[in-house]
This record gives sequence, structure tokens and C-alpha cells, in this order.
Amino acid sequence: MIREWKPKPAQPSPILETGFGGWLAKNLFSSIGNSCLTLLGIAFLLWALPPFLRWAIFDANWGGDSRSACDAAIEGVKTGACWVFIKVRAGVFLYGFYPEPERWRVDFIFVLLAFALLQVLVPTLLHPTRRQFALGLVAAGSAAALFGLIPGGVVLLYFFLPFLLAWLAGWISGPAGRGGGAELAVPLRVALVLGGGGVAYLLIISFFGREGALAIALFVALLAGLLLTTRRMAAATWRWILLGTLYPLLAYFFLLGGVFGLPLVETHFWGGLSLTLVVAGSGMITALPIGILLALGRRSRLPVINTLCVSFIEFVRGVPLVSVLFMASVMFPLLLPENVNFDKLLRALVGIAFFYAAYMAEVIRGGLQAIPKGQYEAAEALGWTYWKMMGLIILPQALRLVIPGLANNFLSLLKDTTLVAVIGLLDLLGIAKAAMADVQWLGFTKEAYIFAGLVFWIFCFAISRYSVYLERKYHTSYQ
Amino acid sequence: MLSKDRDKEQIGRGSLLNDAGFRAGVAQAVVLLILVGAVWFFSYNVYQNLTRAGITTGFAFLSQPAGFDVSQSLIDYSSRSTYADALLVGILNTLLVSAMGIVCSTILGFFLGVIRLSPNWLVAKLAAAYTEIIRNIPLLLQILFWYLAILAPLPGPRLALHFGELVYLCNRGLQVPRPLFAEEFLATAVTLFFAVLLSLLLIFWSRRHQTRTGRRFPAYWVSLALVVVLPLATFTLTGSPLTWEIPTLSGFNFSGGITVLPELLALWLALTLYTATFIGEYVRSGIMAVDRGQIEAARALGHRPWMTYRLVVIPQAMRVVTPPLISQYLTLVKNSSLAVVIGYPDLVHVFAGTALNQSGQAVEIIAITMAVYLTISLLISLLMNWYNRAVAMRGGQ
Repeated sequence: MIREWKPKPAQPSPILETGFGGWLAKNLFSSIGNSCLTLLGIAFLLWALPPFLRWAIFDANWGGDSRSACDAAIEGVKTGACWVFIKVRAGVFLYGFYPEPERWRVDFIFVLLAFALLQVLVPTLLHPTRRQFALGLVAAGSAAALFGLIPGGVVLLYFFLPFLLAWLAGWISGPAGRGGGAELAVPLRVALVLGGGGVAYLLIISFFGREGALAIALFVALLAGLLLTTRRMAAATWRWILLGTLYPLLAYFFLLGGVFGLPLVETHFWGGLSLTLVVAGSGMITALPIGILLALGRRSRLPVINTLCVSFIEFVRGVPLVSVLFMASVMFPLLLPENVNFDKLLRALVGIAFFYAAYMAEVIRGGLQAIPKGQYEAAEALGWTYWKMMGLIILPQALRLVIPGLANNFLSLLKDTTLVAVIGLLDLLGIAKAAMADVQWLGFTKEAYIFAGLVFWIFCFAISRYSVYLERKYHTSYQ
Repeated sequence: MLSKDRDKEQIGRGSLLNDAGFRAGVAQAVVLLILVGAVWFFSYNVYQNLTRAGITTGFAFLSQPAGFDVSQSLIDYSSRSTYADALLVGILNTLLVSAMGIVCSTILGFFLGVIRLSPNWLVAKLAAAYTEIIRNIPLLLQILFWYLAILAPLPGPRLALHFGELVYLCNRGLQVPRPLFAEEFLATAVTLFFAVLLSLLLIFWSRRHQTRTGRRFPAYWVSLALVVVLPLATFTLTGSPLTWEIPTLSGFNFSGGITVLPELLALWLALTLYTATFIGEYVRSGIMAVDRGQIEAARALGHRPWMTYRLVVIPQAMRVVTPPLISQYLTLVKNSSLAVVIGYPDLVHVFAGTALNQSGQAVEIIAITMAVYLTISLLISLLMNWYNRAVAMRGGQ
């Protein structure tokens, strides 16, 4: 007789191992000590969160457009925050004292920045040329709709210049990528760049007048310089280069004005979030190249350059940024001849750029030291010059290695832009403080600081997340 | 012959421009020349500007009376004191807030780092949320928030928040009792000193005893008892020579006790809470850097969890944690200069702010300020590098 073997039906898994109960048992109540900790945590949340949420959201006053709305709400039931203050002052928080009819220029520059950043920061999203074209058209279209035809045209030019440059550089350097601008002697290239700019300047002056001549001449010189120093490159690389060179130029002329019929807005009118972003952006753009040079100098075998760079870096890293800014605002005017006077914002920018350059230099030095010696030796064995070796072999690898460190530095730079308030510039924090001192709106300190803190937090958190993304992306490429 | 010589000559001439050594020499000479030129240009301008403003250069002003008051000073200071005294007051105040910040942020940071790795999901997430929120908000904003949004709207002295009639918190700051030491207290202090010395010797002896014989002596418990019992006994025998001066409300302000200025309180809180997030991250990464096999091996040898931590994990984690910890301490000292925005009388506020405006000696004062910060940075990094050498891996890999 054959007996059929029947397996017993599987028992259900223990209740403390699966499902929500299992998760609770494993993560919150695994031992007596852990249970106590959990209860403490819950008690803390119950103590801290509901009052804060009530204050910030449920009992807060969102409607109205004047101080009386807040006062009425406080008389009544809503004893929480008064966000009307932020709503009424939003213009000042964003633009400082930038004249109201000109604020579209700030908007325009940051909309352009948003599109340009989207393009370079998320290359995988927009890889094919067709999508880049589409993005350019969308950007130009929205700029034209928002700000008028001429700004739209500027955006169109900005977005299609990379394609044009890539084509031009390829054409100049010939089919094999040899010859062309980068092969010319350095003095000749410098002469061509200066000459191109000078000719453009003179032509504009003789045909159209002084207005805008400098801007166009700088633009021409920039393009000539780019074409003469670089070789055949992909449009994606050109986008990065334009973001670092052409964009600041555009932003400078647009924000400051005084050319192309835009009224002049002097820097002491600038303020708020836009000033914070201007300081942070120009700090990042200028500190990185100076930092690279300092790091190379610190690794250099030439005693004079080495000593100079080491002492500069160590000196700057030993003193606080506040004292550097004090120096920039108090001592800088003393260093210059009597009639020469620098803009206060520019002085702060120079101080921040050199301060952060020293920190970036240390991060980059770490990357340079991590590159195997064979890479240097191979480049030298090929007979490459120092700059070619660094630019094409060493730095691309080193910079990729130190992305987290650089991102950390960018982050602290963004946070430290608040320090310009110390020397009297009205960035987001400075403007918040100024807005609180308004006699109409006394007593809304918490609201102002929490709003400013939230804005900073969003930017800083975005940068830190982006650095994690980049780190992952480049890490996988090494595997 | 002739043509060969000419070839050599041409090679020689060509190679001078392409000679690395020659080019390096020229480049350095140019840099040096530019540097010397810039220094000369700037000092000439400074000289011109100062003569025009009628300011005499030099450090003689340090011995002149400063003529301004300082809200908090650890030494005797009045408006008749000299600029040098003001400098000292500033340095001491900077050191005070830095030391307070370093101690508290280290404790809080280690706590945060450890509980972020805790198996308890809720607590770990709370620590993570705290870290991510606080470290992504500028320190200056936090200082201003504590100072202007939390401490300034507190009630006045008459309605001060109080904790057991001993400690008062109001918009004038924190009032705490002041200890008054009688002369007999010296005996207690001396006993404490000797008790500590004795217990250190005991711990040292017990270590040697354990390595020699393998037997353990409860040195830590005994020394704890020594340190507590001996001074306490002396204290009671000499007739309790310590009294407390308790802050009391008289008129519109408190008298007696120690007043911790709201500026100091705000700066201290913000520095501690902000720096602790960074220290917590270093501690976390340090603990995570210890190989799992190390912990498993310790457990396999039968070490209890706490002993595993104390003997295996922490010593190895400290190697990773120490270098960034050093730079974080340095950053904290430098960040304390943000005191200037809320008016805490630190070095920058007293010396590079008020003293500079009073005397107009911009060059000297900025130079002294920077030199002081450089010295402090150098001292801390020397000290911590010495500690780092002590905990670093000894011998080969």
C-alpha cells in the first residue's frame, strides 16, 4: 500500500516577525531600553509638535493685507503666527529695494538661470539634441511671453549658442580636431581676443554711440577667447562654459542696467533673496577657479609659488570670514589711491571669493593627491606641457573625486552669504531684520526668521541632495 | 666642425626658452616682482591715506585709555582702561564662549551620532531630522533667531521665568546663584586635588596589576568613591565653607548672583546646536567606519555590548573622528566672531568694532585681530594634533 506523504500546511509566521506588528517589535520595542526610548521620543513629539503646528499653521493668520488683519486675528481666536507680514513684504524679501518697475529684470535673470541649470544639472533628462532644442524653444517662448520679445530673443540666443559654438569650434579645428585656434601661440591668441573686442568697441561707438559698446565688446572678446582657447567640444560642455562665462556677463548687465535702454540700478538698491543668490552665485563661480589655481600652486615644485600659496591658504583658513569682510570694508579703501572707490558689494564679493578659494584649494588638493603618480608620469612621458596635463588628465579626475567636498563648500558659502549683513548689505537676512524694524510691523520677528530660515533650508537641502546624486552617478561610472 | 658648432648653438638657444628650469625661474621672478610691486603700491597708498587722515601709525595707541565700556568682562575693566585691556577682554570673551560651545556641542554631537545609529527607528529618525534641519540653516540666522525671536520677547525681571526660586530667566539674561567661597574652602580644594591624583595612580596601578596577574581590581569604583567621599568629608569637617548668593529681585532688576547676558546665551545655544549636528555626523561616520568583523569578533570573544563599545568600537572610531573634530573646533572658534551682530563683546565686536571706530587705527587693529585668531587656531590644532597622534594607529598596517 502506498502511503502518500502529505506535508503539513505551513504555520503562519509569528505575529512578532511580520507585518506592522513585527516592524513595531523590531524597530521600536525590541528591548526594555528601546521601549523607554520610543516612549520618550513619542512624548517629545507630543510636547513639541502640536503647539508648533498650531502656531505655524492651524491658528495662523493667512488672510488680509495689513497689520490690522493680524491684530484683529490676535484679538479673536487665531493666536498663531501672522503670515500676512511675509505676504505684504514679499516684494522686499525677494528684491530688496530694487525699483518696482525694474523688478522684471531680476525675474528674467533668475528664470534664465532656472532653465540653464535645468539643462546642465539634469543632463540625462534632456540628453537628445531634439529635447534640448525643445527646452530652448520653451525657455525662449516663456521669456517672450513673460518679459517681451527682446528678452525672449536673448534667451533664444543663449540656448542656441552652444550648438553654434560646437559647430564653429569643430569647423575651426578641422575634421581631425587638429589645427585651429588652440594651436596658435599664446601671445597671438591674446592679441586676437583683445583686438576683436577693441574693434567691436570702436565699431559700435562709431556707428551707434557709446551706449552698450562695452557690453558688446566684452561679449565679442568672450566668444573669441572661448573659440581660440578650446577645441572641438560637445554642446553639453559648451553649456557649462557659457553658464560660467556668458551668463554672469548677461546677469551683470541686466541687473545693473545702464545699457541698452535699461535704467541704471546701483548696487545699494539690491537686496533680499536676489542679492543672496547673486553673492552666492558669483562666490561659487569665482572661488572655484581661484581655488584650483591655489591648489596647483600648493602642489607646485617652484619654491616662490609654493610658499605664496601655502601661506595664503593657511592664513585665510585661520581667520574668520567676519574679519575678512571687515578687512574688505574697512581696510580695502585704505589700500587704494584716494580717488579710486570700489563698490561695497564688489568688495564683499572679492572677500568671499578669496576666503572660499582657500577652502576649495584644500579640497581640490585632496583630489590631486589621490590621483596615482602614473597619471602624471604618463602625461609627462607624452611630452605634454604642464597646463595641458593638468587640464586634460589630472583635474578632470581630481575634481570628480572631490565632488562631495566641493558641494559642502558651496553649501557653507551659501549659508555664509548671510554674513554680508555684517558690513551693511541687505541680503535676505538683512532685509528680514530691516523689515522687522518697520514701526508698522513690530513684533513679527519669529515669522520673519522662520520664513528666511525655510528659504535657506530649501536651497541648502537641494544642494546637499544634488551632491549625493552626483556622487552616486560618478561612483557608478568608476565601477 | 663649424656647422656642428652652429647646430649646437641653435639647439642651445632653442632649449633655453624650452628649458623647464629657466622657464620656472622666469615665472617665479615675475610673480615675485608683481608681489613686491603690489605690496609697495598698497603700502604707499596706506601711508598716503593715513597721513591725509592725520592718523599716526604704530602700536602706541594700545597703552592709551580706551574710553568705552564693555557689557561683560572677565577681568577688571572700566572706560579708563587701555586699548590693550579691551583687547584682552575681547580675547577672554571669545575664549569663554568658544570653550562653552566646544564642551556642549561635543557632548550633544556624540549623543546625536550615537542615537542616529540606534536600532530604535523613531529615535534615529528624530536625530536625523534634527541634523538635517539645523545644519542647513545659516548659523547667523540661528543666532539672531535665538536672540531676537526667543530671548528678547521674554518677560522683564518682575515676571521672570524661574526655576525653584534659584535660577531666573528674563529678557536681561539668565540669573544663576553665585558661589561664595570662604577661606576654609581651600582645604576642600586641596583634598579634591589629592583625591584625583590618588585615583589616577590607583587606575594606573590597577592596569599594571591586571596585565601582570590577570586579576581585576575595581579601580574605577574605588577612585569614584575616593573623589566623592574625601572632599565631602573635608567639606563637612571644616564647617561647610561655601555659601550661595542667590539672585533676588530688587527694584526693576536682579541683584546678586551671576548674570549670563542674553547675547552670550543666544550665541552659546546657537553655536552648540549648530556645531553638534556636524560633530554628530563625524561621530556617525566614525562608528560606521569600524569594520563589522571587529564587533562580531569582540562579541565572539564574549565581550558584553558595552565592553565591545568601550574597548573595540570607540578607540577605532576616534581615529576617524579626531581630524574632522579638530577642524570643527577651529570652525566653532571662528564662528564665535558672529557675536558681532548681536553685540556680544567678543574680540571682533570689542576690538575690531568699537576700538577701531574710536581710534581709527584700522591697519593695526585688523592685523592684531587676525593674528589673535591665527594664534588660537594654531594652538588648538597643535593640541589636537598631539591628541590625534596619541589615538592614531601605531605601527604598520
